[in-house]
Amino acid sequence: MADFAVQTNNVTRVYQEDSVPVYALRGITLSIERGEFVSVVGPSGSGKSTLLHVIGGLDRPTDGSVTIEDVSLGSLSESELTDVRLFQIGFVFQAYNLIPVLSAVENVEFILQLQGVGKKERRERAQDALRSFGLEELFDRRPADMSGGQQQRVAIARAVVSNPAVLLADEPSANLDSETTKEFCEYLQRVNDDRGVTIVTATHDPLVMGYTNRRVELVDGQIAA
Amino acid sequence: MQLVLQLALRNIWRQRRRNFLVLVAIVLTIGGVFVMNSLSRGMEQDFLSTSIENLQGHIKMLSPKQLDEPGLKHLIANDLVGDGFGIDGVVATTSRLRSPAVVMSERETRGVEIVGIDPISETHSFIQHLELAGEGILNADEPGLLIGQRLAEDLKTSLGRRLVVLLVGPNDEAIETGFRVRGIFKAEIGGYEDAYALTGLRALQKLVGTDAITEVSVYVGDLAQIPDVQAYLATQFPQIDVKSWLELDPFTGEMYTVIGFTIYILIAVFLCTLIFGLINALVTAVLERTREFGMLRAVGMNSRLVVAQVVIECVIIMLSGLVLGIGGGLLVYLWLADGIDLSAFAAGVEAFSMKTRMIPHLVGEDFVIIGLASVLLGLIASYFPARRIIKTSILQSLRDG
Repeated sequence: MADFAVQTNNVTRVYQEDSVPVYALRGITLSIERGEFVSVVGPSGSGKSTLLHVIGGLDRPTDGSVTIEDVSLGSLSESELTDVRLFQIGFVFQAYNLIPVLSAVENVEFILQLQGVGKKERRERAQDALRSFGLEELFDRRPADMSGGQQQRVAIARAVVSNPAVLLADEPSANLDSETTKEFCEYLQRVNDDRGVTIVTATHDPLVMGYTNRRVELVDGQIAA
Repeated sequence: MQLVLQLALRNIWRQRRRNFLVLVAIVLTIGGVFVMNSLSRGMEQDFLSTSIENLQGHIKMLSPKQLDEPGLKHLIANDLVGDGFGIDGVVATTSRLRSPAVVMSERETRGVEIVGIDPISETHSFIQHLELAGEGILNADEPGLLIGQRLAEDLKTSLGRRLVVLLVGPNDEAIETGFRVRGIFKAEIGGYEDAYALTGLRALQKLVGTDAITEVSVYVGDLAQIPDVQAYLATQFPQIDVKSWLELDPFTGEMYTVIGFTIYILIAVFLCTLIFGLINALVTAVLERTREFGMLRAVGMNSRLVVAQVVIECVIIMLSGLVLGIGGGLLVYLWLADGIDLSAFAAGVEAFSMKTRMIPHLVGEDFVIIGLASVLLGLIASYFPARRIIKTSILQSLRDG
């Protein structure tokens, strides 16, 4: 077993904008141990989200390599990468991104359904996950009938219900007020403490940074010294 | 798949207003195609039955020179027919003796075709549908004359009056004889009332001094059997011309073929029009959900399932429209089952050898074609939005939403 949940080695990501190369990441080398709660911080355009996308297999680096739980993402096909996202990684997005036509419990069940978990088991696990975030009242409510904070908690429940190795949260507090952000961060910390899930969050919110074990600061696509 | 079906159904309901409008468009198109198709098939059947029933049959046997020189000069033996020649598929045969003739009343003269018939075997010609005043021709020995209502009016004659018929006999001799008007008929096609004067076959044979006939009409149970029956008869009776109805009535045959093609062209045009509307609606629906599809792919839903969701949504809408459209079309069909009365346009309609009542007709094969074409269109229509989803990267999808 490797000691690291996430490793990036000299990761570079270059986008072409009107034939002009734009460097989003410049040689990022980073190791995140299992169970760490890391915040990637930095000003807008520093490459925080790009780094999370590359770690999460949503984007491929132009150069360098990414390893999640000993699996090098660079060698995987699209289909295998999809499986890694499904089984190894949980995502929490800035805009919650719940499925609008499904209830809270169905949204959480959704990931388990994709994993092929049986109906009874996935319903129980989804309900347990929602209960652990104090959402038992919202089982049958659809996203449109929930507040932003409630949606974000359902999003965390969905992200952790399958016990992923890594939870990636991209600007999770961007749409939340400070009170809800605090509450949300406490839930993240519980996930980190109780389940031992490695969490990497991109944020510029000092409140969120305060809950993490380590900060990685990016400036212009590079880790600041 | 259950997951995909669940998402598809809920997304259809979620965009119910737009999907309802799309469904209405599909129902109207499919229903319209169905009704147009049944009317066109009805017209096609009308052309066919009019041609077959016009003393023709599916196949006609006659002297090789009869078509060039119609009349009593070129006859064939009367003993050809016996139990439908014992051929599978032949449902009826009938012999006739017919000749151009002049018919005269005390006040008017008209050119007609005098036809000697055996009414017992005339089970498939227009003669079976006649609306009669008087007694009609009851057997082949009947010497009276049965004329059409319009001819009776033209000749200013009536039941029981005498008419003089003048015709050229088998040896080019002039034959002139008197007939009593035994019956006056009204036909579905008014032209028959002007064209024919009917009498008993044996009575006419006796009058012109022959045992022969001019023709034998052969009726088959299925159009597909015509070529085989025709080939068999041609082999059995090499001295006689054996012609199919298409050869004898090429105009109607062409019309029949053209309508058949037109039906498929109509189906194609309607459904192609529909597909553009469908693609437009689906692409719009997919564009609105770009972020959602990006999220589904980001959290681990593979592309095949995402595509399947779009395709299933489309196919469900299309199938619903198909069922409702055919259901609606069937209701209209039943409403029109007694036919559309075209008697107000009788002259024009008859010019095309059609009856004045257009009766819709259903063909099972067309149901299958419309059904399969609709499902195929649903699949084609869903291909474009589905392709758009797959072509767009996950990140782009998440950003664009």
